[in-house]
Amino acid sequence: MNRMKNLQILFFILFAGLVVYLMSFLIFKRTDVLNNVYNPRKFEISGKILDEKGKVIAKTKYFDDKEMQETLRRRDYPMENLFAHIVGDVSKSGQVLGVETKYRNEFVNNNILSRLKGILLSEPVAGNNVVLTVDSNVQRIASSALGNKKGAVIAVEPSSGKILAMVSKPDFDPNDLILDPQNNSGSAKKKYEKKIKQYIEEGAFLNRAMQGVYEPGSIFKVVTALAAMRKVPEWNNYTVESTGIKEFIEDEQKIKVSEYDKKAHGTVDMKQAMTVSSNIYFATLGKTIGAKNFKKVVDEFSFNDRIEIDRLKTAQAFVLRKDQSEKEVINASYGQGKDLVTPMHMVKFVSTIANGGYMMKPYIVDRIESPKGDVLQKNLPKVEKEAMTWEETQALTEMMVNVVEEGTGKKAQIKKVKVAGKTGTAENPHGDDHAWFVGFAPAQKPKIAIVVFVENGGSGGKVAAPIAKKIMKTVLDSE
Amino acid sequence: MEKLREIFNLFAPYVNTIVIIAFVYELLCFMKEKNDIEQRQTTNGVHWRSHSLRQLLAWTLFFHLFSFATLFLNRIEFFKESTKQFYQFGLFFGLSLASLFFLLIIGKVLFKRGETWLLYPMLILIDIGYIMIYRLRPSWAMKQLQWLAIGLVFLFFIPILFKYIHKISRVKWFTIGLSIMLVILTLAIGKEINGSKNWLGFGFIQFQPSELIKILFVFFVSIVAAETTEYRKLVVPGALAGLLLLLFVLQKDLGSVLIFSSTLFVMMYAAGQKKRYIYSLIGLEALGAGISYLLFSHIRRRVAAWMDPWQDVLDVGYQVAQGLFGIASGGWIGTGLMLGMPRKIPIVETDYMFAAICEELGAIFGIGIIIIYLIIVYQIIRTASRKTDTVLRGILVGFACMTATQAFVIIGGVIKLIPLTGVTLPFISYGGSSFVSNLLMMGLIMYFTMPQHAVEEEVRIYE
Repeated sequence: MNRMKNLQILFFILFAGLVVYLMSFLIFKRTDVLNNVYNPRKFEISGKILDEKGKVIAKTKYFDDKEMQETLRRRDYPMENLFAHIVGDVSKSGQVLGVETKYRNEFVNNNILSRLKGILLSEPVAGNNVVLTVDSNVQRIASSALGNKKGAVIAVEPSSGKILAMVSKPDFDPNDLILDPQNNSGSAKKKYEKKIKQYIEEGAFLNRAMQGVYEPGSIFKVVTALAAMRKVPEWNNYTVESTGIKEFIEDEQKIKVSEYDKKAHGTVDMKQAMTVSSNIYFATLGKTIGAKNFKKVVDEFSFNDRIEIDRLKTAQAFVLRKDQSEKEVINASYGQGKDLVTPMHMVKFVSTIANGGYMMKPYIVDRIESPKGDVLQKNLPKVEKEAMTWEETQALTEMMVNVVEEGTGKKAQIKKVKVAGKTGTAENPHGDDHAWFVGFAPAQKPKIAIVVFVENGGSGGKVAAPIAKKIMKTVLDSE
Repeated sequence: MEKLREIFNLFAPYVNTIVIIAFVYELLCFMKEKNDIEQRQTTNGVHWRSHSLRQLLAWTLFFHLFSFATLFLNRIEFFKESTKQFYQFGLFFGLSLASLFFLLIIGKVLFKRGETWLLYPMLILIDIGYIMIYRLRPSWAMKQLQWLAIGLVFLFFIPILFKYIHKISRVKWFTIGLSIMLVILTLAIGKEINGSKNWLGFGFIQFQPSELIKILFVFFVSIVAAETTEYRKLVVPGALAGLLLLLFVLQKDLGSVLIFSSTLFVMMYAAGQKKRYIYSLIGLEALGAGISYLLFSHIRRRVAAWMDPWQDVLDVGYQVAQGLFGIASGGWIGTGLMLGMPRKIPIVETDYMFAAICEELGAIFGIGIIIIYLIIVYQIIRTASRKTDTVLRGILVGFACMTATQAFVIIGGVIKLIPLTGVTLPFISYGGSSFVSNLLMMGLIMYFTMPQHAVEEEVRIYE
C-alpha cells in the first residue's frame, strides 16, 4: 500500500518541518526577539558594563530595605552623562537603544555552579560583564572638548575598528531614568516624568553620532577625490581655475557654485584645491566624474545604507540616492546638495584611508566576561573588505596632511605629529553652517581616526578642528 | 524551605528536558518492538506486556510528582495565607492522578486488544495539560478534570452504540445531515468567541459543534470514499462536504476549514480515490483561499501578522509577537514552572498553550510533544494500512488525521510557520469540546482496532 506509506511520509515531513522551524527560530532569531523593546519580560540584570580598562560604566547596586525586609536593587551609572548614548535609555519608553538594552541577555549568568553558590550562600548572583572598546579617558576629553555645543564626536582605532569614544550632545544622565525603588511616592514619579519630558524636548535622546543625518559639506571632497582617482585618468594633472564664482549649465538649469567668501584661488590642482577647500574645483571635478560613476564609488562606503555596529544600527545615509542627475552630482561633489550622512559614515570612511585601504568593521563591544574575568565571548577585529588601494590612501593622506599643515585645518596641528584631516563648513536650511572635521594621526601608522561634528557650529576650521586636535593629542600622548 | 525552592527551580529545567527526552525515547523503543512483533505475526491486537509501556507510565508519574512539587514550593507563601487554595491544590493533585489512572484502566478494559498503547502518550499529554492549566489559571484546572470525566463517560457509550449500528454504512446520510444542520444552527444562534462563530450554548453548557462534527464527518467520508470511485456517485456527497466547509468559512472558523479539508484529502487518498479528483479539490481550495484573502479583512490581518508581526507589535501582530517572546524567553530548556511570564501571552490556556510550554518547560520539551503527535499519527496510519476493510481504514486514518492536523495547525501558527488559526492543542489545551472529542476519537480508534473488527485476513504490511 504505497499510498499509506506516502501519507506517513507526508506527516513526517510536516512535523519535521515544525521541529526544524522551531529550532532555527531559537538559533537565529532568539536574541533579537528577546531584546525587542516590546518584550514585557524585563528581567533584572546584575552584570556590569566596563570600559576597555575595566572602569565601571554601569552596575547594579544592592541595598537593604529595612521596612520591607528585602534586598532591593537598582541599576547605577557612576559616570553619569559620560556614556549616555552608549548605555542607552532604560526607561519604559526606551527612546535610545544602547548596550544596556541590546545586550540584556548577555548579562545573565547561567552558570549552574554560580547560581548554586548564590543560592547556598544567599548572595545575589553576579551577572556577566560586557566589556566595551571605549576608553573613558578619551571619552571624557571628547565630551569636555565638545562642551555645551550640540553635536557628536567619534574616535576610532583604524587598525582594528574599535570605537574609542562616541559622544553625542545634548546628552542625559541614565541615572535619571531609573525609578528609585525606595521612593515610590507620587511626587517622585512626577519628577521622573518631568525629567524625561525635558530630555525629549531638548533632543537629548538622539544619538547624533549614529542617528543624526546632516549635510556633510566640504569633508565630502575627500570622497570626491577618491572617485576622481578611479574614474578620471589624468586626475593628477587635473586643474581648474577658480575665480570665486562659477556657473554651470546642466539640463538647461543654471547652477552657481561659489567659493567660501567668494575667494578666488586661481588655478589649482587637486592637492591645492583640497588644502584651500575649493568648491569650484570639486564641483567641476564632479561633473567630469559623472553621476553614475560617483554613485558607484559612494555606494562602496555605505553612503546609501545603514552601518551596523554590533547590535546597533545607524540611520540611513543618502548620497545621490533620490536624485542622480548630472546637476545633483555637481552639488554632491563639494558636499552640498540633497545629501545626508551620519558622523559614523564619515569616520568609517577616513578610518579606511588611515588603515591603508582596509575597511575594518567598527565595533563597540569587545567581549563578554564572567564575573571572575573568564572570557565567554570575544569580538575580534574584522576586515570588511579591501576598499582602497595603497596608492589611493597615500595620495589622499598626502593631501589631507597638507590641509592641516597649510590649509583650512591649521587648528588641528599637533606639535611633532603629522596630522591628516579635512574641514567642512556645511550650509544647511536649519541655521548656521555645520562645523565638521575628519582626520587621523599620525599620518603614517595612524593610531586614531576621528570625526567631529558641531551642529550649526560655524566654520569647521575654527570650531571643529581644535576639538579634534585636543582629542587626538590626548590619545597620542597616552601612548 | 526558601533554599529548597531555589535549588528546585535551578534544576527544574534540566529535569523537565530529561523527562521528555526519556519519554520520547521509550515511546520509540515501544514502536520498534511493536512493529517487530507485527512483522512476524499477521494478527495484531496481541495483548503484549511491554517494559517500555511501563517505563512510559513511570516517567509520566515522575513528571507529575516533580511538577506538582515545583508548583507547591513556588506557591508555598500563597498557600500559607490561603489554606483553601492549599486544599484545592492537594485535591487537584490527587484527583488528576486518579483521573489518569481511571482513563488507563477504563481504556484497557473497554478496548481490550485494540491499540490501547495510545493511552500512554495520551496520559502524558493530558498530564502536561493539567499541570500547565493549573499553573496558568488554577480555577480552570478542576474544570479540565470534569471534562475528562465527561469524556470517560462518553467512552463507555462507544461499545454500546456500535452494538446497535451493525453496518456503519447505514449512518451515511445521517452524519452529513446532522453536521450541516448543526453548523446552520450555530450560524443562526451561535456565539462568536475570538473571531469565529462556532459556539453553541444551552444554559450554562457551551460547546463547539465543530468538534462533534469532526467525528460525524470522518464516518461520512470513510463510507462514501469506500463505496465508489465513480464521479457520478461522488458528486452529491462531495457537494455536501463542500457545503459544510463553506458554512465553516461563513462562521469564520478557518481552523476547521483547514483541518476538515486536510482530513478529507487524506481520507480520499487512503481510500484509493482517483488522484485527479483530490488534486482538483486541493486546487479549488487554494483558489477559495485566495478569494477569501481578497474578500475578508480578518484573513488579511492574520496573514499580515504571520508575515511580519514586528511591524505592528501592539495591534495586528500582538498575539504572534507575545507568543514568540515567550518561546524566546524559555530557550531550549525553559525557565522552569512558575518562573516565566506566560500569562503575558493572550489566550494562553487554550490556543497559545504551546508557547507557554516552550517558555517554562523549554523548546526541547515542545519538540518532544511534536514528536509524540507524529508518532501517534504515524503509527495509526501504519495500523490502518494493515486493514483490508476500506471503511475501517478510512475511519482510523480520518481520526488520526483530525488530531494530527489540529496539532500541526496550532503549533505551526504559534511558532509562525503558518498564519494563526483558532484551534487548540489536542489533550493539552484547556477546552471541553475539543478535549472530549479528541478523547472520543482516540477511543473510537482503539475500539475499531479490536480483533472482532478484523474482517478477512489481515494483510502483511507493505514493508
